[in-house]
Amino acid sequence: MKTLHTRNQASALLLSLAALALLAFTAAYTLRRVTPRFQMASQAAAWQEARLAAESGIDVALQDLSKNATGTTAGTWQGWKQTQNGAIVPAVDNTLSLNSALNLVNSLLSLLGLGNSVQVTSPLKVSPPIFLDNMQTVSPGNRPTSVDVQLWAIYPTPSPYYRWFRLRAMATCALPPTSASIFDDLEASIRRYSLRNVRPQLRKDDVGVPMGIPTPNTSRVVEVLVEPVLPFELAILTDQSLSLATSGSWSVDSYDSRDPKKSGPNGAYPGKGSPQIQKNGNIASNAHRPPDSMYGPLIAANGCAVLGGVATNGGDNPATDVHENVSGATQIVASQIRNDFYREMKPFARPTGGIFRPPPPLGQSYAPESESSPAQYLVSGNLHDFSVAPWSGSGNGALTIAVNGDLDVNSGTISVPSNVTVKIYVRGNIDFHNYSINQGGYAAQLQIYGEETNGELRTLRAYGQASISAAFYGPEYDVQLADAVEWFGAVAARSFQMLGGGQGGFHYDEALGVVGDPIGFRIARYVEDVRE
Amino acid sequence: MKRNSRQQAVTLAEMLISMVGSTIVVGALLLSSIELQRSLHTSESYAANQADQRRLMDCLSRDLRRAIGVATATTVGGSGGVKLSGASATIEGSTSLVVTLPGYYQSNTPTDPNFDQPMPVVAASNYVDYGTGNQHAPGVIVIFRKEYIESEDCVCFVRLEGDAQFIIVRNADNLHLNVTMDPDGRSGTVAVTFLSPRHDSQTMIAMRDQVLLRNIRTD
Repeated sequence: MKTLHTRNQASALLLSLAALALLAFTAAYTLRRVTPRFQMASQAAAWQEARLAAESGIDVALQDLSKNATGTTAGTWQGWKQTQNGAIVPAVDNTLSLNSALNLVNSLLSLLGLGNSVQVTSPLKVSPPIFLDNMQTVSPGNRPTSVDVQLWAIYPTPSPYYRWFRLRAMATCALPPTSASIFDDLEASIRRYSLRNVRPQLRKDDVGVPMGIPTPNTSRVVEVLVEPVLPFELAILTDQSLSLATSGSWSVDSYDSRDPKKSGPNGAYPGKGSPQIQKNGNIASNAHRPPDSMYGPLIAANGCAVLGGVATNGGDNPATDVHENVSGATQIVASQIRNDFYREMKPFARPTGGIFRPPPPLGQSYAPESESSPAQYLVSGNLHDFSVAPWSGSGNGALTIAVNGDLDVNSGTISVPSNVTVKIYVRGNIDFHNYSINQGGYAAQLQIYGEETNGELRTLRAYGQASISAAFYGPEYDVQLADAVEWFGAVAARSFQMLGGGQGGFHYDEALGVVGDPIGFRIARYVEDVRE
Repeated sequence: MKRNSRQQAVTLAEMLISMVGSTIVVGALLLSSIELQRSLHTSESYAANQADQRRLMDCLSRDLRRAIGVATATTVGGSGGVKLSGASATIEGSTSLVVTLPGYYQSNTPTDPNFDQPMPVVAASNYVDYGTGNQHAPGVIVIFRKEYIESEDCVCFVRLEGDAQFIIVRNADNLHLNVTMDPDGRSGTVAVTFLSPRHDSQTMIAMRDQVLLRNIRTD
């Protein structure tokens, strides 16, 4: 009996072991097949993070461009490097020659409008790059990531006021250490991981010190062309409130003084109702709603007609058909109203280089110089009405006036000859009273910049029948127009208010779209280099 | 220890009981084995489908992100496309998605040595872009389609760019692609779904990616 029992127990044990072995084998087989697929998910996440890191590298470079290549003076390019005779040196200490006449800094300066005007040729030339080397980031998946960003200046460009740059960022993100192989050939062809060695094609984008992300890793390369954002691209741009006329038939429209088909005689405003009138009188505001009231008006149109787009920074409820972000929009085409606008505005500083002359004696005109080397004047007090002498040299003349006090035109006018451009940098208030300014002239000929006020608010004021032809940019200025003021040009300010109205209006000259120094940069072309 | 015959024999009742017991045990073992296998197979299927889903979505999103035009077409070459804006399209049957990419590479022929070389930047029409001579490069048409591929002997999701055909997903019968562009045409949603491989399940497993187009559309 004892033997029989033992034999029975052994059979059961063997049977159980066999069954368990079979199940374990099945599980192991399946896990072996499933695990790499889940590993693929982890690899794909790293691939996504590499793209995000590359785009963040582009963002950093754009920020540095805004810091160093806007306004009137060149920046310091802190943190940027370049290769010089095989050595990596700071980009500011730059003597690398592109050719005998032009080095990178000079090319950047020329792109900043500080050099001589250059003739456009195509294909364009590209400067040697400066670069940000091995920026370290940690992705949300806690994977170490390294980013290299290269920046090239493109020159010459279609306009002396245009500055374009090319940016290229390569980000490399670590893969899980177990990612020694790719399970799926299709996966391999799209994601192109570097498993044991970095793919040779990527080395040209790994500038400076080689990145320290060990294999296996994944790299992605994003390239963008960036164009400048210019100060007078919109008819009216405000950082805060924007309120149009409260009475009369005052309206916003546009014309193009460069094009006879889009303007009146000699490039003048063709008059209301003219077929030459254009519909690019775009207005926009950066103002935003409080957190507890997300939807509501941000621009008060007050029933004014706006021939152009109207854009705000939020405020429009997507669940409704009406546009809550613009009040009194009865004469605005609904499809022209947007709520996804924001544009950073920072004040310009006056030019610092060159010699500043004292203002001419009372009754005498300001004398311009050539466009490449404008005459510079410093007015230590207030500046009142003045005139400018015609430019007698070749091309057009230019003049810069830096005003420490107010620009107060309490009599007379400001008159600018047709071949001269005047830029006025003002630290105080601006008051045109009820006098016409640059009447009959082009708006681009009279550019007024309100400077940094260290938080103190400034105003630009005009009233009565004042007719103003000018472009104004002052992010810390409140523009207050009253009665029947008519403005030809563009205004970019902290706020804009038109009290009253009359028969006039705000007439944007589209020629201003290519005028002025950049206030920022935006991406004009985005590509991902997927074949590298 | 000599056994007698009465001790060696098994009664009918004992035998029946043991047979029933054995059947229950073996049956349970068999059932659990089958269920386990089915479950593991489902897991594998699920993982495979999800990998395909992710790859299709990533591949399309990558192209949409840099697109300058998005349309649907029912022609083989993608001509006569209808601009996709404020609308949705399911890429099945004869409907294909036509994405226009900005011209960037010197050649779109995979065997060409300049296949991976970017074009220079040129100025024309008062702006700068990639191109040659005095002209900006034309857009490059990329077609996404679900079709039977003879060489693979199965329905695949394919990406066609010039002469190059790239298979994104094999055995794609169970995979469904839907692209929705917002009314402003500047962003959209890529949704890829598949029917859960669980036995008798009617659950659709969906994965979505919201894409913001980085370039201004020119279509």
